[in-house]
Amino acid sequence: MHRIDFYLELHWAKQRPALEFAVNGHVLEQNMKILSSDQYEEKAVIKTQISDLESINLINIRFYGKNDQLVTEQSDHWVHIKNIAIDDVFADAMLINSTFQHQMPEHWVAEMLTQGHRIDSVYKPGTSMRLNGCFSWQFNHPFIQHKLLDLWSLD
Amino acid sequence: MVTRLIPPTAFTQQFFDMDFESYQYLLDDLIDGDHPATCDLPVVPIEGFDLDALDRIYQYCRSVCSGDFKTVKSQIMYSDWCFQPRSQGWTEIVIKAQPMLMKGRDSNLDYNLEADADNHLVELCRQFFPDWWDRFFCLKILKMAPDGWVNPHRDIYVDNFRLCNFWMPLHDFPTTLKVFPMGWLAHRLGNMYLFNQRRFPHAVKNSEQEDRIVLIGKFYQDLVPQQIVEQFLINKKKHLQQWQ
Repeated sequence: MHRIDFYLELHWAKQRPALEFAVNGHVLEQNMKILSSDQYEEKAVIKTQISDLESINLINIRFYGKNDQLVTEQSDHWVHIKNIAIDDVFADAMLINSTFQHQMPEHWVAEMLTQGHRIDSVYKPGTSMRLNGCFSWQFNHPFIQHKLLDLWSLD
Repeated sequence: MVTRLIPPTAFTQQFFDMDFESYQYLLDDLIDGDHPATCDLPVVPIEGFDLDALDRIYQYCRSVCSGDFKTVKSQIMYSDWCFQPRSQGWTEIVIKAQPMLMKGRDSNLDYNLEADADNHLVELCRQFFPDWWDRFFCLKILKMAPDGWVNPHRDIYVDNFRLCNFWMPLHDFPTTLKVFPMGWLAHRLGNMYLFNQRRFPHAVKNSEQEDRIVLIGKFYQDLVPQQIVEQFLINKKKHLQQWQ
């Protein structure tokens, strides 16, 4: 069994987009109950336990449901992934290798392009989720060894 | 008042507990140069330092200036990415400060800037290294409190100092420094250990009930003393015998 803890900073009002967590491509359904309640605080720790996977090497978080009605002059909605712990070992600076692939509505893209902005399809690191899209972070199992080898090979 | 230290993080504790034997293959392709600045080996011992002079520095640090040790800043600096402590019980006195190469570049690198040792301690160190003072890039005394620890890390600088860094125990204590992928350094009092701290992830732990005090420093890469280079050439074959 593995434990994954997500440390999030949530910036949104009661009426809000949603998050979906997936490990190795399998959506974690038990979290959806937590996320459908109204008990959001600005900082949230979402604790999960995974018993049916031997190894973990891919974590995805999907941010969806943000639309024109939710975004107003007074309020925007975004999520900052502060950290992820796998079996109590924190990823910390390794999250710099994560990516965020956004799915921006076409009329937003058109509007931004006319304003002269450059729009990349994938952002790295992907820890700041300000648009609908998918955070993706890949590593080797076991994580403790991956982290050590990554420390070794930074040069 | 006794301050209770936070126990090591899971990552640090696993590092201390792990057996690195299956990672020895990483040592196969290390560059074997003929100068500390060009050689990629992990640790090379330099022998024959004066134990009495070492003891004078130790006793002075332990008694007279034991209150002058300051918390190492990396222990208290948290960033967005690292919100767990990176060390506990780790304090230092800067004997000779490194040049301000990095000031203002990044807050994480902006430490160890000012020498804060008193004159007598500086004089003791000058006597210990009589001809080498201008060859030091920096020189510090580090203290690790009982149950203190430092998490696995590498020391990244603008330049790759390789074996121009050194680590030197000031008194006799059990193994304290663990280096990936070799293991615990089986050090001996009176030896200076040239230590490739940029290439090799390392962590420190003090499981005894007494402070551990060590001297660390760096030589300028082109000013490594001739005596050190000569011993380095003789002793570098011993680098695989230093571990347990």
